[in-house]
Formats: sequence, C-alpha cells, structure tokens
Amino acid sequence: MIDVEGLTKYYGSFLAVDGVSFGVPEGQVVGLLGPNGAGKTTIIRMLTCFMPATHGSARINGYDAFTQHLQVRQSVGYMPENVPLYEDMRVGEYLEFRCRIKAVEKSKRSARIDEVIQRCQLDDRRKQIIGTLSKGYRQRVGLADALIGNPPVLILDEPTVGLDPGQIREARNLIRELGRHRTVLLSSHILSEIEQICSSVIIIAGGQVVASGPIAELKETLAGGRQVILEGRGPEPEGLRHAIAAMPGVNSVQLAKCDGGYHRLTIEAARDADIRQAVGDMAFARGWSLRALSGASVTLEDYYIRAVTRSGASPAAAAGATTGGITSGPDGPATGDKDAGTSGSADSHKIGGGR
Amino acid sequence: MSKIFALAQREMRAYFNGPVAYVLIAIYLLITTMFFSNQFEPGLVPEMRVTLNLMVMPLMLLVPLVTMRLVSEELSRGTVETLMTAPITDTQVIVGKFLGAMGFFLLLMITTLIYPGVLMIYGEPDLGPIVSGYLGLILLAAVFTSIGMLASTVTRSQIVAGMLALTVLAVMTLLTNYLSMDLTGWARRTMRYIGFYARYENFTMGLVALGDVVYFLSITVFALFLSVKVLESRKWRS
Repeated sequence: MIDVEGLTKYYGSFLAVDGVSFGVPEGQVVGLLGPNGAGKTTIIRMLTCFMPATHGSARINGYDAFTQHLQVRQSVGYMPENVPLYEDMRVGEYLEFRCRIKAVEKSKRSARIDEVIQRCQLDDRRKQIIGTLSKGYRQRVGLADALIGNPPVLILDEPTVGLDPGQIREARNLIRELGRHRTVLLSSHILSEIEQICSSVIIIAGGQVVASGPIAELKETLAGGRQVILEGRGPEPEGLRHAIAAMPGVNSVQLAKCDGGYHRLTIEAARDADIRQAVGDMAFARGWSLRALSGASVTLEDYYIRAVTRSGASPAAAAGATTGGITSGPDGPATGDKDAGTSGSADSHKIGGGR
Repeated sequence: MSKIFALAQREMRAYFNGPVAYVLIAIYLLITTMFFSNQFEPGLVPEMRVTLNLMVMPLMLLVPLVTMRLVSEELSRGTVETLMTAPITDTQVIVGKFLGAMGFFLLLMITTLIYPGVLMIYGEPDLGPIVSGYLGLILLAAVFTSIGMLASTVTRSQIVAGMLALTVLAVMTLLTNYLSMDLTGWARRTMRYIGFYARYENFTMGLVALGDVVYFLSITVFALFLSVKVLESRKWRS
C-alpha cells in the first residue's frame, strides 16, 4: 500500500532523511518509531505530498507521491503533529468544509460527517468553536478530519502526544479499530505505544531505518540471545565454566569474581534453549551453592534505546536487525553487527545478522 | 470548482465568525458617510463622483487588514499542512481565498449603495457614472486584494504582510497620483499610466475604457499568479 524506495531529504545541506526504504502492506497498522528529530515527520510530510523528496520515490495506493499529488492526497487521510485546525470554526462546520475540499459527494456528506463524529465521539461538541476545545477533543477533530474522505490509507503523526492517560487509551483503541479496514502508518517516539497499536514497526534513527519488521518477529530475533546469570560459591570455577560451555545450546560463558568468594558466570545461549535448570543442576552436582540464578533476554525496548542513543554518534552503527516482510535501510546490516557486538551493555550480543 | 467555492466560503465565514468584519464595515461606512454628507448639500449636483473618488482612500487602508491573514495565518498556525495535503491544488487555494476576500469587499460595497439610494430619493442622479464608478471600485478592490494576497504569501507574519501590502498600494495609488500632478511630459504620462488612481477616475467620470479594464484585470491575474508561485515555492525552499 505504501512503498518507499531510497527516500532522501536535505534541508539545505542538512541531511534529514537518508535513503529510507520500507513498505507498508495493505490492511496493516505500522508504526514509525524514532526519537525526536529522527526524521519521522519529514518522511510523513514527503509521503503526504506536503514537500518533495530530494531523491527517492514513494508510492501510495499505487500512485506516485511526487507526480500524482491529487490522487495520493485523495487516498490519504492525514493528521499532522499538533493537529493544526481553524480556531474560529465550529466542529461541524469544519468537517463540512473538509468534506467539500476532499470532494465527498454532496449526497453523502451529512452521512459521512455523522459517521466520523460518532466514531470519534464528538457528538456533544458538534456546535462548539474549535478554539475552545481541549487538547483531547482537538485530537479527535483531527482524526475525524483524516477519516472524513474515507481514505484507504491513514497517516497519523504523533497521534497521542499531549493526551492524558485515559485519552491515550481511547485513542489507541480507536486507531486499532480503524486499522481493521485500512492501512495505517503512525509515528511515535514511545515504543510501548507502538507495541500496543501496531503489528509492525519501522525504527528510524538519524534519518535512517535501523530496524523494521513485524513486532513479534523483531522481538523474537532480538530476544535471540538468551542470557543466564549464575552466582555461586564452590570448587573449581574454571572447571564449571568449561562444563557449562560444553552444554548444547550454549554460545559462550564468562567467569568473573564477586565479593565474598562468590563467582559470577554469564552464560549466553541460543534463544530456543532454556538452560537455566540444566545449569543449576550442573552447579549442584559439582558441589556449588548458588545465591542467584536468573535469565534475561534482550527486549525490543533495549534495542530501541540502544539504537536511539547510539544514533547520535553514528546512525549506521546502531543498525542491526533485518527481518522478513519489511526491508531496512541500505547500509544497516553490514556495519551493525560488529559495532553492536562491542557495545558495553550486558545484553549486547548477537543481534541481527549474527546467526 | 466546488472546492474553490468551499474555500471562498470558508474565508468569508472566517471574517464574520469574529467581530473583524463588522468593525471594518462600520468604520468604512462611518468614513464614507462623512465624504458623502459633504457632497449632499442643497444646490450641488446629485452625483457620486467625488464620494467614489474619496472612497478609494479608506479602501486602500482596509484591504491590507482583510488580506493580511489570507495565507500568513495558514503559515503561522500550521493549518497550511492540513490544507495543502488535501486533494486541492495551489491555484485552487489562491483563487478560493481571493474570491472569499472579494466576497467580503462586494458586501462592503453593497452597504455603500445607501448613498446612491439617498440621491435617488432626493434628486435625479445620472445612473451611468454611478454604475461605471462602482465597476471601477470593484476592479480596484480586485487589484488591491490580489496585491494583499501576494504580500500574505511571502511571510508568515500577518503584520509584515499587512505593512507590505499597504506600502505597495500607497505607492501605486497615492504616490503615482501625487507625482503625476508635479511632473510634466513623459514622466507625468508614465505616472498616470501605471498609477491606479488616474485610471480609477476615468470610471467615476463615467468612462469605461477597455485599456483601464485590461490594466486592472491583468495586474490582478499577475499578482494571483505570483501568489500561486510563491505558495508553490515553499516546497523547494524548505
């Protein structure tokens, strides 16, 4: 439904979006995730024909976003960040106006307006002047406007920013429901939000795609490295280390001394092997007494935060995962693995192409 | 076409949703009534010529106040993003907004029809120059509005847009007229040729010359064309 190929945008000499490619299949809710200033809004503005790209191409609903403006705009319902609205108009009046410039047939107009007003729970605000609406209601008016032309594609830029927790939950439910019959692309800098609403995610940092794919798949891939930490006291720590390293599914074991004669073994294993019990049994068999045995896995959140924090220095270095379904940026995987492996954090092993 | 009409209607409504339109109309009527009442004396010829000539001055001050928000407000409020991502072209936006502002001025002129009405009650005015004078006033309002529109597309600040428009209008209407009185020969002819006021006077005298009509219309179309181009340029300037 949305196909983006090598999209690049320079503001003067500043590179805001750097060769971004991704696809959004029909009928999916896809999240564009990235920190502030990552280029999300710029990408969205190029997709909605608000500004042209420097290089690259984008097709929406089969139309080229740079040559077939009117068809693309007709196919897209767009809610910009911060929802700019005409303050002096009444809600009903505004939606009527938007209906007309979006070429909704005259006979269907009032039915469309009634439908979106009911959908976005604006019944009691229909006659209110937009300038006097609260943030939450403004957001709903923006969403109602995006929906009014009954477009096959919805593009929402930070749809939940500035809402209170109750409103955020409402907005999420609404977007999820809308996504049943439409293709939705929404941007956010909050991972948990994307996880709750979207089926797939495209992570953007420093103007590049650093990871993309269905959330479940991405989690699976990223959670690939399972980590077990064992702390205990006993004879021959080196011997135990070798024994554990020889177990099936274990990739590596690191031994470190702790306080009070304890040792810590950090074991990294394949994702499908739950070796906690086996490791515990083996330690007991060798006469060890344990004070801790814990398992941890790399979460999408860890990955996102790392991608985001590293993007400042070198966007490509944070790149790692490439999974099926959605393709990532051009030079992501090539440089990602090496850099990710040397990262200092405890769960930094083997992301993406390492397997 | 219906999209242009929708845009025009929105602009019209924007003026009347607030107090702006009512205040401006009231002030305009107050000032022009003073002009008219000076011409409405026993023994004077029942005509609108002088009143219509004088009506240009307050119109020139009022047009920037009305047109300065047309595009600047969209730019500063960010509504340009919702507007320009709707399935409409830049030309439709400019033409729609122009027609909306012109609708307001037509309404304003209709309110001033009181004066010829009063003349018709108390005398027998020659209707020809009145009709041609109003035609001239409408054409002049179109010229003013298109220049105000152009000023509004170049900046997101309404104040700057208003001042810019006022400066251009004052130069083209007042300064050219003032210079034409002092100058002689070709310089005088040039000032009378490019100045709006000398041409407008022809209309109020009852003279509808094709050259004047074409001049006013071509300036309007040219300013609107430039407005479209400036609005489009936001795409490659950013």
